[in-house]
Amino acid sequence: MCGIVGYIGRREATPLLIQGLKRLEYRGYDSFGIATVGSEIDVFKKQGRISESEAGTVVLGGSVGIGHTRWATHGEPNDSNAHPHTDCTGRLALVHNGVIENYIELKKQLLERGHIFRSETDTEVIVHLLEENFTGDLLEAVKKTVPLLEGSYAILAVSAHDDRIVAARDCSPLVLGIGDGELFAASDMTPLLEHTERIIFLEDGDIAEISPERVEIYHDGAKVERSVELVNWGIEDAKKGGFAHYMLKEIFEQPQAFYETIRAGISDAVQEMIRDAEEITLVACGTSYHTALIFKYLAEPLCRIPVRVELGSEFKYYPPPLRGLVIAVTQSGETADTIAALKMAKAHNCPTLAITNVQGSTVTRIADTTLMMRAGPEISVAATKSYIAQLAALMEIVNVRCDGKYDDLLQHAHLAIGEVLLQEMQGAVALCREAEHVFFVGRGPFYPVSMEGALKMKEISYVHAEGYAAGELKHGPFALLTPETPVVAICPPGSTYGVMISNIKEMKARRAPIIALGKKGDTELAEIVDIFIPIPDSDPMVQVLTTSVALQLLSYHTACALARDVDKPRNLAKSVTVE
Amino acid sequence: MSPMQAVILAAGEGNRLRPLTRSRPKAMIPVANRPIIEYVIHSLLENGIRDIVVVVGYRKEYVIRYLNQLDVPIQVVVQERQLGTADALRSAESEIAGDFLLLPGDNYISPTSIARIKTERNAMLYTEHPSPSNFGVVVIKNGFVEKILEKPEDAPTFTVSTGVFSFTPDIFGYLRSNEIPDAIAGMLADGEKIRAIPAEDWQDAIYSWDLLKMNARMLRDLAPATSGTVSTTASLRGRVRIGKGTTIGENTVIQGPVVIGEDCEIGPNAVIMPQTSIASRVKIEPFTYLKDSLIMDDVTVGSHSRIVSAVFGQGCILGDHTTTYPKEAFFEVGGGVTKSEFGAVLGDGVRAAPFTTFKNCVAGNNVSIEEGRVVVGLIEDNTRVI
Amino acid sequence: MQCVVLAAGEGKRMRPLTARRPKVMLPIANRPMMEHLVTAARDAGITEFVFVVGYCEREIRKHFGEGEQFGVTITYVTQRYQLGTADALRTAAGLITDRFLLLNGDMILRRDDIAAICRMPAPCVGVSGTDHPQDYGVVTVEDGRITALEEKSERPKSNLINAGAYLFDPEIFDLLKGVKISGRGELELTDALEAYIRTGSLRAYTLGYWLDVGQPWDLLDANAALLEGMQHEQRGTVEAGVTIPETVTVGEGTVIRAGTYIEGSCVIGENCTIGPHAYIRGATSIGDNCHIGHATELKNTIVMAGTKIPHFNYIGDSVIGSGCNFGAGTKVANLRHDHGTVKVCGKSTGRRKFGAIIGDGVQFGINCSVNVGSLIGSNARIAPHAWVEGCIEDETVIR
Repeated sequence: MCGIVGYIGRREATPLLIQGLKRLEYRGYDSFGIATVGSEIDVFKKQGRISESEAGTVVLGGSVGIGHTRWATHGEPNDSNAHPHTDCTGRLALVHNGVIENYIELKKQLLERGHIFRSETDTEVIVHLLEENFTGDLLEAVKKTVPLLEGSYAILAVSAHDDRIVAARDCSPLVLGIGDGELFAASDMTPLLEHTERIIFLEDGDIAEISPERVEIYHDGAKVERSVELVNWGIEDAKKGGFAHYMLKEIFEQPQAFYETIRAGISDAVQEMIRDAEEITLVACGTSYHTALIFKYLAEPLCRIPVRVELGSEFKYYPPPLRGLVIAVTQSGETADTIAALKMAKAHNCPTLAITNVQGSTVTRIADTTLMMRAGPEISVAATKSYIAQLAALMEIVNVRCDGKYDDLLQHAHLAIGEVLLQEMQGAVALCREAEHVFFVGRGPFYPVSMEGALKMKEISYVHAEGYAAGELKHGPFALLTPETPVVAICPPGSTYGVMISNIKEMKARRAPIIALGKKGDTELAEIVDIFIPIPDSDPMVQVLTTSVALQLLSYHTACALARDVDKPRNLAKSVTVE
Repeated sequence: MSPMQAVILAAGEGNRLRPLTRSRPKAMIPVANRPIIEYVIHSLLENGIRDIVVVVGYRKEYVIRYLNQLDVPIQVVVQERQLGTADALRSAESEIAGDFLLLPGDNYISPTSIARIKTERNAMLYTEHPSPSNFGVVVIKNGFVEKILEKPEDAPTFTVSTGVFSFTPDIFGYLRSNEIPDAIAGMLADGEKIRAIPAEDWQDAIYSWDLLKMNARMLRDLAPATSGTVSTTASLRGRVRIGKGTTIGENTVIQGPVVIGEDCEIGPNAVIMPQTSIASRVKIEPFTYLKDSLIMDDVTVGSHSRIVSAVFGQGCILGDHTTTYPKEAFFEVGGGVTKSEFGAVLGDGVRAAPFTTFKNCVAGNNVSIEEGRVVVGLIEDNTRVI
Repeated sequence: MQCVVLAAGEGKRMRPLTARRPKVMLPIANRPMMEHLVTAARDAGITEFVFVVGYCEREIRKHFGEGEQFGVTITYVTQRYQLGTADALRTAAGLITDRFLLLNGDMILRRDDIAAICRMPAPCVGVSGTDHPQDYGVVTVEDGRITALEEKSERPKSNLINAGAYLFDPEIFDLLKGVKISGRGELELTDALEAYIRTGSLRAYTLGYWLDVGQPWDLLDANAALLEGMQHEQRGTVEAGVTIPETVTVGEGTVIRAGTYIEGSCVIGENCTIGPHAYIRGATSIGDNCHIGHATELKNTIVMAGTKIPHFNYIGDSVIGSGCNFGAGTKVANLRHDHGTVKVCGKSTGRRKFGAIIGDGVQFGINCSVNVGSLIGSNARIAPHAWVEGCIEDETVIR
């Protein structure tokens, strides 16, 4: 359940809604739908993604409408589970992003009261509740309905014969764009920017009544003012150009993403926060969790500070003791689990810092301060340049704690990343594309690097992959090694080199084909492995970057060889705004 | 009439420019801080030609990234294997609707030259060159092409092809081999007429040290502008262009034409003499002297260095007291021997410890040199000089 | 009648003056260029305006509001990306109900011309004679009908140019749908007119007066022309011992202090402090909240709001942005030693006397020397005693 848009004004709503949904597709693309208000409510919805279907042929009249592009949480992706959902009478329609946690109970009650459900979604309970509370005024109905909901929601609702949209949010993002005699609503700014620069960020608990000429916002029953912010963004020129995939484009943008993030530096306030910290807790999900783990491996020995890394999705239910600086790492700034954790940290009076790629995103408005990564828009679902930019930001934190010891190193690190991009991958790809399982192993910071390598492999090539600490393989997974199970070993020079070599020999003895990443010119390693991928000789901190990029290329080319949909892998969405 | 189209060929590596072509094709080598292909695109735009197709191949990701950030939309087609110019043109066939210009992306061609050919059907631009044997030599009779001899041992004339042609879609019927000159020969054999038109200005860099001459030529048209942070005690004379975020330290003397990119740190007390291009994020330490040189991104040149007639690839880090020493010498490149005089051509990522002297030297990518060495002649990629 | 005014573009050639305002908001005789156009249209009887805005639209909205102050109603539409004139007009679709006037916002017309064009049968294009047609789109006219529209070219076929004023019926919106991206990469309104030209239905109206500003230095000529024709009025306080002719306008709240000598046709905005002992001459416009102080001479110059030129300065034939501060003794030269034509960033101004173009928020230390033909970007900071020339980009620091 991921992206919602709304339009009200003087133009035909349908093309604007479709265009808006396309911009939000990164939030989900299982199915989509729109509803417009004429004298009646007309609904069109369909399984699949907009670009694939006959979007151009959707003809619904009216200049008021709402739309939705879905990433299924409750109920499989099909036409009837697609939003918008309507009530029993067909007079009300609604789109929703979020999860209603008490929907089973609500649904039971509603069924008992005779409502007829047409989908398996949690969302449909909201529209039936609206129906019960509807006495001709949609705003009043929404006001009465939202207190009954538990969980997270951003909703847009319309009713027949009414030139209004009513919006409400709690723990899911929703922004409004103000045009001339027209208003836009969406899950984030991207669909709005081509129409207006005047944006209102709704806050949790807000209910907004939207008409072409004005917006009125209510909070806890009282009318409130929300400031209109002017955003001076150009349209994000996210052209694929001649690249086969956004992912490849973004892989090649990594030297720049890294450099720009380093160059932007860290504000004095954030520096002070970092220097004052006695311990650091990072909260993250997915790829960001891996960058956080890398930070732990770098920061603990280099800066002698205890670092804990927590998964956002676990944090809320099993909170760790909350002390010291809490850093939320999220590319989109909207990851629901990470945000929930950050709110808890704030409630415990911890200083909070957000590392994100999206200015104005929810996380930036919750955290005390923000450290922006400068990756630019990332379109591909698989994170690449945002991962590198996150590492840049986190390495910069290490550097601040070490009084600028790594200035020179960080300023030249993008060259090493550029160097790896020239690397050919055919041999390794040939092994991986035939494999059912691939193991990725490394030690120290290269353990989370191998976890990230495995994640990328799973995510885009659908080849099952696991990242392991190299020493742990013999405590179980060895049983799975076969001549058809390649092992990707990260084996850079350094204190763990010798023990990695013995690990590789052990695996070799189980006849597993080995793909090794090692220092360019390391003939000893090259001789004992099947495929050797050379990495430029440099400091371990830079090797973290270069080996990560090499593994991205491996996953990318494997996915291409298997003809996967690299930019939009099945079942995934770029930012997960539900828990 | 639909607007004229143009096809720019940028798929080939340009291997005579090694070691500079390891991470980029020749068309992407920066000259006066802009890739060569940008001059070609600019000349087309000056002539109102906006429907531009670029054929990419070798290191295509870098070319595409660069093309995407231009203001004008550029159509990209990929030549999967670099078989030759005719094959490259063939890969663009589906994008061509009518008459079009064909241009090499790795040579400079002036806007005026393009104005001379853009209204012609079946024509080529030629120029005079003192060493024609490196090119396609054109024999011209009564203003029309009689024949083209590809890199002949003994050239009958000094007129060479610039590789800029105006074609009708009929050319696609003649692309039987992988090279354009064969197609031309085929057209001539069928009695087709190809008008020969002199180019107004055209520049090519055959060998890496020729980039210095091209650099000097391109700097002639430099639009001066000051940006960044400039000391009042710095002296900027002539055409000098300084990019955003660059710092020019005290008592630095810059004598144009000189272009300096973004986020550089120059001086204090540096001297930058004419015909020098310095790209972005370059650091020139105090008391260093640069002249007639082309310095790419992320290079550091240590204090008290004297850099003359040098091309430095991306990310070179040179210690203090580095000297480049131009001396005439013979070079064996691509099977032939050629005579030239320059200080140094360094590939990407060359590292030299203090007191290194480069004497007429071409050092490969990632070469590293220990202190106090005098380095002469050709040095392979990844060599350690000890 | 409704009137659509196209005001969405930045006007890149006017940089750095357009750093915080679109070209149409550049002041001429202390009023935004577009205000002169809108009041002329109002005086010709037009009360209903649609402004197509985009770049720095806030500035336009702030100044014009809903039009009450000007006795007109203004509706705004936003063109977020400047894709060309056809696209700009298209954004106004739905708001136009009947025959309407379409005006480019970056020119100045007279009331009688606007009234006359409104009386013509639609479609009609306003044309104007010029002695440099190579800078504009040229039209050829036979018997009052336009027979060809030609893009800017080196060898124009006539000296009549498309002035950017049109009278259309709403059917133009249907023609706009067929417009494709042109050779310049834009959606051009003129492409939509081809159909009219083919049927011989596109009329031409020759404007009696047309003022267009192509380059920053053209602002000086436009300023002189408008100051010449304007009704002058003196408010504020003029101390004894000030020489001020009737050809000078002084705004509310402004104080002109003793010893000040003003000649020529000038306008001084509101809440300024002028003098003591300032010397202002030529066609000079000084925006609101400026300070022109002791022993400062301004000649033939435009100074935008909030700029301080407080002591021992000389500025001649220049355009100065808003919020600048000139250190004591800083001067701008305006004449070459060889008395040749002044060039700015390599482009000839065609003027023998020209000083500098200085963007917004530029700060000079004391005793800086700005050479003829300098262009200084917004928010540049210049150290004391610096010698400045050439093209200085935004945010540059000379220290």
